[in-house]
Amino acid sequence: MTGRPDDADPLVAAELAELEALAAALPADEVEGVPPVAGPQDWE
Amino acid sequence: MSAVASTTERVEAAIAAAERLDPTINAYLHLDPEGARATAAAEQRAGPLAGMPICVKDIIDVAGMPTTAGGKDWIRHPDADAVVVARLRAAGAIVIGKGNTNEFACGIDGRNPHKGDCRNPHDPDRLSGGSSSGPAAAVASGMAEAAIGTDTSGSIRVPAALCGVVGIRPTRGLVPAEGVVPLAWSLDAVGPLAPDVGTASLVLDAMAGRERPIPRPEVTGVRIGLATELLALAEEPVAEAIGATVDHLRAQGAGVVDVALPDLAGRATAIHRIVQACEVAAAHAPWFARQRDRYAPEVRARIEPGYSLGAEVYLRAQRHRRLFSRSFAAAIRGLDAVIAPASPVLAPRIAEEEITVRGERRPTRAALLSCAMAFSQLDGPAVSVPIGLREGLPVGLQVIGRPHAEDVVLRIAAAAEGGG
Repeated sequence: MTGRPDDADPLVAAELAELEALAAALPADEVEGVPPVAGPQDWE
Repeated sequence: MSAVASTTERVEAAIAAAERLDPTINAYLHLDPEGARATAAAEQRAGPLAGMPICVKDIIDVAGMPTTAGGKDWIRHPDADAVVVARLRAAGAIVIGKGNTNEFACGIDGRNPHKGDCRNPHDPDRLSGGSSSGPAAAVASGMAEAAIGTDTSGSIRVPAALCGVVGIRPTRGLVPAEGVVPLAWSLDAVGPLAPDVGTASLVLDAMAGRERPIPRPEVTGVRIGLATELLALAEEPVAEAIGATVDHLRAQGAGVVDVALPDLAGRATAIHRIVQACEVAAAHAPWFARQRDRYAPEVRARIEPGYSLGAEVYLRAQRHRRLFSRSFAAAIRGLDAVIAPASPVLAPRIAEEEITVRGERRPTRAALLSCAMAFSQLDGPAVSVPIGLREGLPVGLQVIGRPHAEDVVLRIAAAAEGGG
C-alpha cells in the first residue's frame, strides 16, 4: 500500500487537494445517526 | 438485419462490419471471428437471444479471451465466463469480441493512451464517450447487435448518448458483477447497450436471469418530472431535442412537469467523487504499489488520492449519500420517473480538452459527466435513449426511476425513442 501521494506528481496532488476540499464540504454533524449505504436503499 | 436471417448470417454481418469499420473506429480490443463462426456453425441456437452477436467490454471476463481492462500490460486469461456473459451465452448470444474501454474503466471520454482511442461512428473525429466506448461504438456501427457495458458514474449512459444507442444502467444488484474488474463496488452496475429499447430490454432480462414481456411504449397517465437544472446545463441543440421529446411524450398521454432536484451539482458530485476515489484505491491495492508507473497519469491521479482520504471521510460520504437518496425520493414523490439529458453536449471533438457550453468554458470530461453522475448514487435504473440527431450527431434522453422500476422507465424510454 502506498502512503501519502508524492507531491511531485502534480496531477495526484491536485486531485487530492480537490477531494479534501469536497470532503470538508460534507459536514459530519449533518449525518449523525445516519447509517452508511448498505444494500438496496429504502425508498418510499 | 432481417428477422429471418440465420445465426451464421448475423455473425458474418457483424464480423464484416468490424473488418470494414474497426480499423477506423477501434471499438474492439480483441476480435474472435473464428471462434464466433465456429460457435454459430456448431450449435443450434435457442433462447431469447438466439444467434445474437454481442460485444463484451474488456473489463468483463470471457473464457478463452484475454481481459486487459484497457490497461498497459495488465492482463488475465480467465477460464470461466463472468456470470453475466454465461447468462447471455445460455440465452443464445454469441461473443464476437472484447470492447475498448478507458483504462480500468476510469474515464468518461473513451480515450485510451495504451490501446488507442475509440472513435465515434457518426464522426470519427469525435469522442465515442466512455468508459463503455467499444460496446457503444460497436452497436452503433453494426459490429454487434448488442453489448455488455458497465456504469459507475455514467459509463453506459454517456457513450450510449454520444453514439446514438440505448444504454441501461440497471438497478444496482439486479445484474451480478462476478467476473468484472471493479472500479467502485458500491457504484458499479453492469448493463446492456443495444440499438433500440426492445432489444436492450431483452438483453437486460437475460442478464438478470429472468424473462419478461418487452416494455411497450405506453405512457398514458404516467407522471414524469423534467429535471430543469440539468436541462439548463445543456447546449441549445440538446435542449431543443429534449423539448421536442417532452411534447412527443405529452401527445402520448404522459404528464410532464418541471421538478427541482436537491444538491445535484454540488453535494452529489462531492459524495460521488469521494466514494469512487476510496473504492477504486482499494480495488487496485493488490497491484498499484508495484505497477504505479504503468498507469496513465490521469488514471493514476484518480486512484492514488484514495489511499490518503481515510475511512472516516469515506463513511461520511456514504452517509451523505443516504441522505441524498432520501432527499431525491422526497423530491420526486408523486412522479413515476425523472427525465434529463444523458449528456448536455453533442459528441465533442477528440482533441478538445475544454468545450464551450452556453458561453462558458468547461473541461470536456466534467461536462460529459454533469447530467449522469448524480443519479449513479441512487441505486435505481437510469437509461439513455436516442431521441434524434442534431447537426448529424445523436442526442440521448436520460430516464431515471426508483430501484426496480425498470418497467416504467423502459416504457417511457420506448415512448421517447426517436421522439426528438
